[in-house]
Amino acid sequence: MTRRAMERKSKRLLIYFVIGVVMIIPFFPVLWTFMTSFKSRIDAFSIPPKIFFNPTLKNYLNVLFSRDTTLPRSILNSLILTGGAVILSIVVGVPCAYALARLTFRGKKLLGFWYLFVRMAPPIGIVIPFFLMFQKFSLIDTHVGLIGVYQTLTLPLIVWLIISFIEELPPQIDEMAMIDGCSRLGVIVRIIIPTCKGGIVAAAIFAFVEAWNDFLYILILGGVQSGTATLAIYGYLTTEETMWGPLTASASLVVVPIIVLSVITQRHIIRGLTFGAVKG
Amino acid sequence: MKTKYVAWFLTMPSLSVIGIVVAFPLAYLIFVSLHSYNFAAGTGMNWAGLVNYIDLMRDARFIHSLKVTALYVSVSVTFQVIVGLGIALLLDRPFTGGTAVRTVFILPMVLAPVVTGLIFRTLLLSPIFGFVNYFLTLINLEPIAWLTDLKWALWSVCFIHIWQWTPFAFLVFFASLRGFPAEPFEAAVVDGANAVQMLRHITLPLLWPTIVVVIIMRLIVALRAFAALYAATGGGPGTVTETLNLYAFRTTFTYFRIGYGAAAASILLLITMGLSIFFLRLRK
Repeated sequence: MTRRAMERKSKRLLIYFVIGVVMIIPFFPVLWTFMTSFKSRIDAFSIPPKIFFNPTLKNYLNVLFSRDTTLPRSILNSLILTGGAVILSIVVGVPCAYALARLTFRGKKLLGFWYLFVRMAPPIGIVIPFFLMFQKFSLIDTHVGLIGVYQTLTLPLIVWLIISFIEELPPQIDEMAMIDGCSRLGVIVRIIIPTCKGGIVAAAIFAFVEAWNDFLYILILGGVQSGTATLAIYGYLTTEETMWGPLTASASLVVVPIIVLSVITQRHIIRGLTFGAVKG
Repeated sequence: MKTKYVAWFLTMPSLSVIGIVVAFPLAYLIFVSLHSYNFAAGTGMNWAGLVNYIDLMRDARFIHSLKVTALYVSVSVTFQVIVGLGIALLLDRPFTGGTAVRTVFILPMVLAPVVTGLIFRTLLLSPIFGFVNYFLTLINLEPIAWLTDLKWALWSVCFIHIWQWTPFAFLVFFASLRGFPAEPFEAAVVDGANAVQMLRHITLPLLWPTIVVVIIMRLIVALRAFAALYAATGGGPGTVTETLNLYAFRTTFTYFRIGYGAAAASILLLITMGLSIFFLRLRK
């Protein structure tokens, strides 16, 4: 082997070493959580921490099937609230995104700003007035009320992302369809939605993750009827003790579908993260 | 003429949703912030004008929460951007397994922040059973009560935020670097430029707009941060990690001083609004 080839090879090895080291930091806490979820109580609390242990499904059986567990119901609530919120946002958001991307009208800039601001406003500012209003109209701990509140998480994201997808299509295709006798609504239904299908699905997934991970809204506005999975997980941190097994098992159950969805949308993740400001 | 009606027709549904769930509540928030309204006292809402805001300016705990927020936001954003940029530059060369790297870096970001806070509190940073302290004892260092020690708590919650969100900065920079045209770099190589010169005169200028976008977005998210802090420390010990968010939360929902808490939240919203306007200017 020539010296140059050896140098190149060692350089390459160095790169993989660096990648490995760099990847441990984001990966380890997640891995450790998964591992702990398969540990018995004694293994979980052992010092030094056990890397090798007898895996058990007890924690999972416990959070899913024990008589007094609230997790299955909480997961169902998460699905209802998040799914409902995303569907509503898509239905009202797609036409709006189309208008913002394609038409010129007064107030367009302001409207765009509002959507952005909603997404960026700290939720504490939104939850206080909602708390007061929900009390007045007895909407606390109802699915309808929470799906409404979740619009502040899902709708802006969906509108802005879909704008960025529509802007990538040449405007001529709209014009051609309209010459052929399509109405604007027809353009959206027959052309925009089919062409942007992938983008719309990605936007829906990002919005889903956002609402699925909500904590503050459900903490204040939720309750026994509507409590979501995040609230249930938080419940395993009691004042007397931390229930490590149930906590890590339920956290794993709740995060796995989200990881799967996110990996599916990898291609669009940069756009999703930056609100369409950077196209990856 | 016709476009106007079409635009109205298309935007009305979402406009009414946003109106109901945002415009009205925010107006109501400001309305409440101008009243003295204390659930615990049970006196109902009484007009108070700007009294809440004036009191806030004199409230040592509020001023303290502003300082904590400033520190939390600046430390975590600085680290995220520098570390994210560093890793992106380091990995910006051909290697196989880019997808695997991306997947791993997505993991922290998609965890619910409340879960992140809980994991760090119970599994990683807890004084006795935490993995980090175990690691410290391995290299003969004293264990530290990361989240309950007055000296360490704020740094620890900053670290949690940095852990969760540095991947964001990294992924955006990484994608941006990969999308650069090859010509300027090739020309620089021909001209005999070294790596540092190329970084300073080509890479960073090209990357600058992306860096600004990332900084603004990280600022906004750091200002929104609530759940991870709430789960990890709840603002404690005492008020050491009490950011503006937690201050407004505690004032409103623990002490039930609704009007006062609303005023604090309004100030937070004002700060975010400024940043959003700035971000929108950049995007166009």
